[in-house]
Amino acid sequence: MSFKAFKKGMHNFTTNISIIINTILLIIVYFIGVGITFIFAKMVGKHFLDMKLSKGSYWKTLNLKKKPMVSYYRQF
Amino acid sequence: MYILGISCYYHDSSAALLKDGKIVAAAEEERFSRKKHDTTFPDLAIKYCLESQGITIDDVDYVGFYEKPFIKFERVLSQHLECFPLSLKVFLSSTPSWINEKLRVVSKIKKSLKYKGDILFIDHHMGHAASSFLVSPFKKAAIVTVDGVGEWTTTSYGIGEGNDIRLLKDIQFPNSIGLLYSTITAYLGFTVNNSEYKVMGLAPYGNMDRKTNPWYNKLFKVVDVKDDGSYRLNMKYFKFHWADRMPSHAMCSLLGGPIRKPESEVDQRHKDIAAALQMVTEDIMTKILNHVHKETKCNNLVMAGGVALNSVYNGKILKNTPFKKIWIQPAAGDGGTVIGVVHYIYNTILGNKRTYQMTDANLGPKYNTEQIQTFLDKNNIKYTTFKNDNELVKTSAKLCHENHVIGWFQDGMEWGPRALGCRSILASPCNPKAKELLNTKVKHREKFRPFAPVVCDDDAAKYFDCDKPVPEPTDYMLMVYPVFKKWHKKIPSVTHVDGSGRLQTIRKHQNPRYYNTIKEFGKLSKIPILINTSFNIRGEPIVCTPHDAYKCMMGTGIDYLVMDKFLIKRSENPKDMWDSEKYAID
Amino acid sequence: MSKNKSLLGEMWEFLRVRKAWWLTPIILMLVLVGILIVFGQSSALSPFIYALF
Repeated sequence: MSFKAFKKGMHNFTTNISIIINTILLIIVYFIGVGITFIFAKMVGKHFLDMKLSKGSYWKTLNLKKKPMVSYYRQF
Repeated sequence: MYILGISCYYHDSSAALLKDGKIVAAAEEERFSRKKHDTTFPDLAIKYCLESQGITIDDVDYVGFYEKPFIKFERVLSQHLECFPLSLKVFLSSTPSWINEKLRVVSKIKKSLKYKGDILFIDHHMGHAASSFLVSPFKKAAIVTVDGVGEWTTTSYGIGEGNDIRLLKDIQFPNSIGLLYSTITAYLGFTVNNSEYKVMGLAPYGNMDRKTNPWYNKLFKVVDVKDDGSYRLNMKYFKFHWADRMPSHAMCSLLGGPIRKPESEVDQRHKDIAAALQMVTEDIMTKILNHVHKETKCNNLVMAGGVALNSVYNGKILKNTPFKKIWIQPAAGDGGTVIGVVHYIYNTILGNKRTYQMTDANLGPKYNTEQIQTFLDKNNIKYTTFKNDNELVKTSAKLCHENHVIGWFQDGMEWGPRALGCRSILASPCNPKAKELLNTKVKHREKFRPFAPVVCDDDAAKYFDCDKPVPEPTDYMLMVYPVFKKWHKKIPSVTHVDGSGRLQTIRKHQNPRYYNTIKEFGKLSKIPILINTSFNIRGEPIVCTPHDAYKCMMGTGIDYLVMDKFLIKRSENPKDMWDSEKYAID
Repeated sequence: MSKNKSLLGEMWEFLRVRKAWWLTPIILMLVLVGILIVFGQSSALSPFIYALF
């Protein structure tokens, strides 16, 4: 077997293993991180998306305007 | 002062460069990478921007990014928290890219570009607002931005005055007209964020009567619209907030059947649904615009966001709302926010006076006569050289009049999704077989899709029932107007089934060769209108380089290529012929 | 010297300023496993969903 073929095989193997490990770790994050927060939020009646239909206007006040320069260095 | 704007990771990646208040270069990454709707970091577009000015990244004073990534991340995590455990699949598929790319914009920009300066992050909808207002001819205007979603905002309105922009109110995710349009696009079996304009083109084949279209009232079950134009989606009919599909089972039941398989037949029900969607969208937008006019008391309107590319509705705005003037940037979608980012930094944040107004979209790479001739000679391509502009214009017009299809490669590549006479395919609209000819030879498009006309600005009002004076967005094919009835049979190839046309108006100063060719064609045919369609192989982005243009001609049935002052005839270069249709992927 | 902050520093400021405390457990877990994970780029997006995530 040539070294090139060996390298390719190892690369594929590593990729597959990393996909499996990543998936397992992310599943843990999802069920523990997201899941537990979801349960607490449900218990206190908190919602994260505004989906309720109502009678009044749906416009929300935004008032987005020029801010101090320092706020634009932030990613939020 | 140089400011570089960057957008990437979600929709069409792009870059724009501003120099002392003026946009000097802008382009989408896809044109260089040749991957349609390329979302990766726009290395190549940035390289073009810098090289066009002969500068390096060290000359750039600021780099601007088109959104606030952490706020977007907050919204995404909120979706997972609201929809647990349904969103597991998308969590697993999308989270890696957040960790690896989307939360690492600062380090990516610094490492990729070796940039040592500051990076400014501009709210997404502010980028949209600025991309239209700050390059418009208006000192003061009402601003409306409507897209799928940015960070949280999907729709907003406000006022622009001088250098300042204030977005007053918004509607937030998951409530979104853009996502409603995309959901029905997906339901109709078309690709999302790529084919919404096809659904817009399909609508006239359906029942456009609000009283008798059965789906019109049904669609109002999926969206609650108030008199002030504000709206909320009934999320029972959607699943885009937790799944990798958009319409839910409830939507499929409401619309009388499952999601259409992409290659299956588009039947009358689909056409009627497309029509209903277009009418619902127009009704919501009209309510929004009427409300905005009332709140802002401005007669000027600028629009941005992907929904502002709905040119059928745009053509009705001045007739159906109190606004008197309108301006929309040619790249109104997400790729266009880079224009807004650089101008917002220069004019609003840094307080510099506005001195630039966008009057054409020729912001991409241009190739001079020497470069093109070198390419032709190096590749042993047979060509002839026009003696002067007059000969070029007369020959091009004559070829179109003789029902040939010509590729037209001139000047700087267009900014935005439309070809506007720099990277275009031209043909005669008087030929009733032109649509079939173009579809067979070149474009291989769905039968229901119309081709678009280009007309000189001083002739537009003769052929089209357009607003007067012709609004500037028409220069960027952003307005659809009715073709006067007496011309329907004379220009059948650019008259849609409902008698409308998505025209491009060209003004002489924008592109004299193009303008003169159309006029010359008019002398021969008595109708100074040409078909203008984008110069590309099916499934590929619009051509960018002379190589792309030549390759496209040789892989399709385009008869001639007019590239700067050179004429290349396809049949004289048989060694380079190939069949692009074999390899085309939509 | 650039005025942009580091990822972790900015993430902490984001939670504090936005008062997004509900997100803390998820973000904490992502930071912890992030050290372990070999991440790739995003998988190819289906053409039938808007790029939302």
